[in-house]
Amino acid sequence: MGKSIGKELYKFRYLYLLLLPTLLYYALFQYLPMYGVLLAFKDFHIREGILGSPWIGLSNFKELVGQSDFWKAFWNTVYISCGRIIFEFPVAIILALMINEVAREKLKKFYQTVYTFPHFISWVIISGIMFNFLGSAGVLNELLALLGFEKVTFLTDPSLFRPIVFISSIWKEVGWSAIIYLAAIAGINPELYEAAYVDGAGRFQQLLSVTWPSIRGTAGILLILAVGNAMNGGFDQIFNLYNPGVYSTGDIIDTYVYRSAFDSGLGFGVTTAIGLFKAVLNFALLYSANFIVKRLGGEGLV
Amino acid sequence: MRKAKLLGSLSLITVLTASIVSGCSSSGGNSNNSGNTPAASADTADTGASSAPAENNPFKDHMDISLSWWGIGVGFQQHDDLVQKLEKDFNVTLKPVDIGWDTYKEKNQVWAAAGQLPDIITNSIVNDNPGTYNEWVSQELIHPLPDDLSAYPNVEKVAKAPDVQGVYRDGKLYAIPRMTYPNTDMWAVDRAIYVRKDWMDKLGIKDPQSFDEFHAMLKAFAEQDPDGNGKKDTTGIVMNTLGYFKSVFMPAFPQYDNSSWLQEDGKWIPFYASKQMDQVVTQARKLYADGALDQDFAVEKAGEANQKFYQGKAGALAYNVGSVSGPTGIKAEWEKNNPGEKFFDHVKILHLWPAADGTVYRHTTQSFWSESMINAEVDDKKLDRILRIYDWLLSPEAKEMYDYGIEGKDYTKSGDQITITRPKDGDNYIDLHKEYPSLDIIQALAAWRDASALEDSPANRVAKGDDVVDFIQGELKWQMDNAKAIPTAFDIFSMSTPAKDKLSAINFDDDFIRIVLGKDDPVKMLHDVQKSYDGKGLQDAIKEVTEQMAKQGK
Repeated sequence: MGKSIGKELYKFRYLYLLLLPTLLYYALFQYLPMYGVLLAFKDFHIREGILGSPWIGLSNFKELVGQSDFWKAFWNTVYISCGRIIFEFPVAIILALMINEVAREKLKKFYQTVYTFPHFISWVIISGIMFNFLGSAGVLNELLALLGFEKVTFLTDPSLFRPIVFISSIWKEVGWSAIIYLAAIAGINPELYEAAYVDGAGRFQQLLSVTWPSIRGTAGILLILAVGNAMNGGFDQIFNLYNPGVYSTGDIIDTYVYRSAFDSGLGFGVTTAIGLFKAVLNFALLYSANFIVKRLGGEGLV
Repeated sequence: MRKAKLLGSLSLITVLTASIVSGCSSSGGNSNNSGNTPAASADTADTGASSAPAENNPFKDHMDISLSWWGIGVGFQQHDDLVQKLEKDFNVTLKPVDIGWDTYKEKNQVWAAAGQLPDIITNSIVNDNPGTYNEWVSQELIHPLPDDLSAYPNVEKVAKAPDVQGVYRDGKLYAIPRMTYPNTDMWAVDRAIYVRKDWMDKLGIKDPQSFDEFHAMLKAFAEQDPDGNGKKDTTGIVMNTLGYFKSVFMPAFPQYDNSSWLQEDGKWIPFYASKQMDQVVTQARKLYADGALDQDFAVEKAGEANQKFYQGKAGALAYNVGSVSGPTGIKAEWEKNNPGEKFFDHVKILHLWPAADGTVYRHTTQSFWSESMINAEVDDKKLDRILRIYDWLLSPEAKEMYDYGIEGKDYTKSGDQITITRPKDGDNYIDLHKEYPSLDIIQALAAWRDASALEDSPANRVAKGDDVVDFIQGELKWQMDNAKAIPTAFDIFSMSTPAKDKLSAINFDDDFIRIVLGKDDPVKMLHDVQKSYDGKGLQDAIKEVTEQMAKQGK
């Protein structure tokens, strides 16, 4: 038995060698740094390092649970993530289906490029663009003023922050997210469409009966991944868009951790505890989403 | 052939793997990779600050010294003559480590955790986060200065300054505080409200004598089309940063302006716990709700809103007096945006009205802000070299360099007579700061030069022009003659007690902004905020500080 494994290894030695850098990458950058979660149970002394610092049990978690700001951030994360799944997730599918229906190939490519482009602009830049659009002297407010309406404080109004987050995120990412669906659509056997056509199905019926069932699996997997990512909430975007005026609706766990760790000296121990807490929740969410999708007849991830 | 291909891919993989591994391990030593630059010869070092005998030359060994500073990457990029002079005189190579104004504290924390702090650390935790400072001291991240500083008399003078005594921990000094002014009086001109006097004249507004008049003026700026372009596109007041804007509330509550502690009902409390904050939030809300205050102030980054003032979109700007001068100062920027107009014909400084007790207050705070720290990894020889550099940076010879440039190149000296020889650009001599991009950094490394920037000296008259110097002098004199410094408990700034250290988790500015932007009753919002601080240990801190102060008989 052992001999045959060795033999197999030797036989495909070059293939395994090709695999080695990837394995090393994961070991070095993904698994090795994981011992840092120990900090959640330790009183971090910078000089002694992570391993040398003394253990303090669960007191970091206790301090965390006592912070009212943390719970506010926690619920904000839940709301924003749910909103992303409800509002942002389906838009990419709809866009992919619509682009697919464009008959002229060149126009199709054109739309795809136009929608994908914003993905490559960083949030820092976008926040600047948005300030020029939505600020008190921004384009939108000037327009409102011209039409005789009151100016709106788009960027500092807590009740408008989440819609702005969703809309700007859709604008930036929808084209990029649609690519996967477009790829799935491109893989559909054209014979299916021909058969549907012969059976008298119109374009809309083809879409419902051929295209959608064919990409449903892809959508299911992406949904599982999105749910498994729910506790993250999108640090990059929020951090660049928020301000103290909208903390009440916009401060998510990640931004809260960032400010706590660096500005107010909450300590690396507590903030690692938050990170661990978040990772465990994400893991649980991923598994439950996977379970539900499988139950509903989808393929699932694991 | 096939074998060659295989060998090729094999070696490629090896290289890739090796680069991953080495990329990981080489991150550790950024501070001590000396030996890659040829050491300057020992005799050139003698031209430096101290002329030690050759056999006992303290500058004999060449050293690399890494130092962090805000924007040092750009400032040191050219490796200009000033940097070269410093490096030659002290036989060192200066390794710049860049930090940014928005993130330097975060960077320092991350570097501390990663063991990558530079040799000379620029930080501001001594006052801003005394808890973190204590942690750095107790975890031995930073080097205490030697007990005997007599070899570095200029550094010793700083170490012995009265309000530096609070920085000592167990009798040792772990930071070189960056002194701002020789005394706390000159802080008066670190706050200023610039106002468009031409707009005031046009709208028939006199200098406000109360908050209500001030409010009415700003509201008029926003609503009565002071620039006469027929559009409602102006606002009342903008701010460089929130800190400068706080001076507006000095008459309502002096200690809010300098974020200090005060005694109320027999207890020592931080400003944000005071009853007097009620009036501050009420006034601030009123300014915002009426459009008298820039509607974007919460969203704009530091300095961004100044443009609105320069472009004639705002009637007032909260900033400081000294920033009027310089190539990117308020005057220059304003005139750039209003070609052909003279700044002083249109803009003046607005003086604040008296507080309820009849006193006009002026800004004051501790005589230093921010500090240099020495990495604990630095050995005694390097520490000595660093302290010698600092001693020289604080010396009168260095001041001459900051004022006039390099002797023999930019000026000549016979006796006390200094003749400037650097080239002219139009009517004025070319700006030293343009000639030496590193000047701003080198001159501020050991101490801020705010005082010399404000003084009435020939160098300033040459560099800034007579009108600017007179403007600054006039304002300084007005403040000294007419205003009284805010009563300030200086001792409490760097006082450290367990509960007070934890108060750094409170960011009142954030809550203040939220209250100002909010729609609910501002006083009620404030009281809720104050109550929530009790959960962060506010009452314990008040108790501890009050006890400490009682011990000192205060």
